[in-house]
Amino acid sequence: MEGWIAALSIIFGWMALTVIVGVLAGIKKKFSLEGYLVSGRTLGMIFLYTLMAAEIYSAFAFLGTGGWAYSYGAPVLYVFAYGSLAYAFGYFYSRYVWSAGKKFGYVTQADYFMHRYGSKFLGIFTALIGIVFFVPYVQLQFQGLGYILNVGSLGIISIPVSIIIATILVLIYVYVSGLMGVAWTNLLQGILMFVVAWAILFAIPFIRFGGVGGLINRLLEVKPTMLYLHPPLGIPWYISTMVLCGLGFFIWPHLWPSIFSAKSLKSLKRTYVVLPLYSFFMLPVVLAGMTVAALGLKLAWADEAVMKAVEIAFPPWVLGIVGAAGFAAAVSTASAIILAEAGLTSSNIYRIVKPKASDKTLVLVSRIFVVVYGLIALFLAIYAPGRLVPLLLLGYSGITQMFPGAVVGMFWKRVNKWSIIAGLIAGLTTITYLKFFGPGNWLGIHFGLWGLIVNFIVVLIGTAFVKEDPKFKEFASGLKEALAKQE
Amino acid sequence: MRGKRSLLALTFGAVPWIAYAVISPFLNYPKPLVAGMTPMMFWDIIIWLPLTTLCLWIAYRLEFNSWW
Repeated sequence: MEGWIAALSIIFGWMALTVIVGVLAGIKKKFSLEGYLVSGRTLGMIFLYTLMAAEIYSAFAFLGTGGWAYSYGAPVLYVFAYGSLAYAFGYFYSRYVWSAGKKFGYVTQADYFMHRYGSKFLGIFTALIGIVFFVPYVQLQFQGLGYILNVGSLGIISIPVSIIIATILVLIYVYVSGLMGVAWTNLLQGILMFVVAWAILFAIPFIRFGGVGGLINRLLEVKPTMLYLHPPLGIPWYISTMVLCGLGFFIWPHLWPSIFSAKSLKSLKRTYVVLPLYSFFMLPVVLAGMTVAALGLKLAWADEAVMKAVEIAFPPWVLGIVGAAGFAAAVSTASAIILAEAGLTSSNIYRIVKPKASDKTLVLVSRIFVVVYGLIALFLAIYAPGRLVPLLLLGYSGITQMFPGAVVGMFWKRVNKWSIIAGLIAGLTTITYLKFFGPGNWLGIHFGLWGLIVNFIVVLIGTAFVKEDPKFKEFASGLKEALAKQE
Repeated sequence: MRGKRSLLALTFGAVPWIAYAVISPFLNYPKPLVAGMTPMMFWDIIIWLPLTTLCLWIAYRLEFNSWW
């Protein structure tokens, strides 16, 4: 049998398996698989852990970090750093999100904005920001899937066709299995990703260079500049990017529902305690990318580096297994994001514009928008492809602008809707200017962080005019009550 | 007493931020290799992924007064 047929069979076989598991999970509603997510304590850590890990670690982690390591080397370390920073922050912050959600019955992040600041406009505005900056996040998943099919078929399926096939598969998957399916299959995906990284990718530097030390020593000879940070991706970039992402991580709207759905604070916090360890799976990915660089291979698509590394070290059917894992990584995240996008559209935009809409209509609206957002990301993946790391950073730049409203406003009475709206506009204007018209990462600092700095200044100026936001009193007393209940 | 414990827990949560955002940039050298890796790789991945978990676990222990 030809190698690429074996590889593609494995990828599509895995795809079929996850869809079947997802559909079965959706049919057996009585066993409420959502319950597994909610009652992690009774089912043990492993379930909750792999669920979250699969949702968080995407094609970005599986292909993007490897591609970045292949092109630039050391700067990729920011990824390991920001994961830890984000979990250390979220460990404390999630308590307030969870309590407020429980007390006031929030379902989405925009619900919080609308309630805390007493502003429908702010609810719609933040929902829109979420939706817009989800787009590059989904786009990178589709591009990643395209690379997998392209290399997996040994180049027989071209990149655009690969992306189209992958998108259709993901949309079918989301449409058919919905959130129920996502929960169950994420367990499979999370395990597969970790196992493939360590069992296959980690072997690559050993096969080619006799070990990690051999690989790094080779790089010292042929590309020493890859082993330390230097401009344009120097130390300012490294620090600013990790801070931007470390702060922005828990502002991603698709993570809020998973915080809300936790039944106990303890199980939620335990998950954050162990999540930093999952980042270890990116070490083999990064080493695989570096191996391709050390061999001096020139790639047309740098983010194919991980797949190429497998191709040169193993027989083609192994590509199928790695492709399935990459597929798992991309799909588990893409499906969660697309569902969150559709949820924001139906409940925070459509329902507010048309308050009388029935539940049936809202479900229909969500489904339509699942397809619409999928197609937008597909279009961008084909006609405006970008590197995976900058795509995610673009998403972070926008999402992190909601930090003052989501975090500072939760604790500070002098922050009201006007200062938050003004800050958001100032921050978004700054990043748009720097990214598209200005110098980009000015002074080597990521443009998203510049946006956040401007945003913060505007919010601070706003507090000078406000003694106390009347909306805060109501929110804070409710939150205090909810927090006291847990003690 | 409670307040003191939460404050201490928060302090432990801040430790990874210092390790990564403040200290790690000082390790920006290609050599010497530690366990086959550059100093920053070793620090960011091998040392501080487990230590971040440890710090958060200490915070957890302080907050909930239980081992797990």
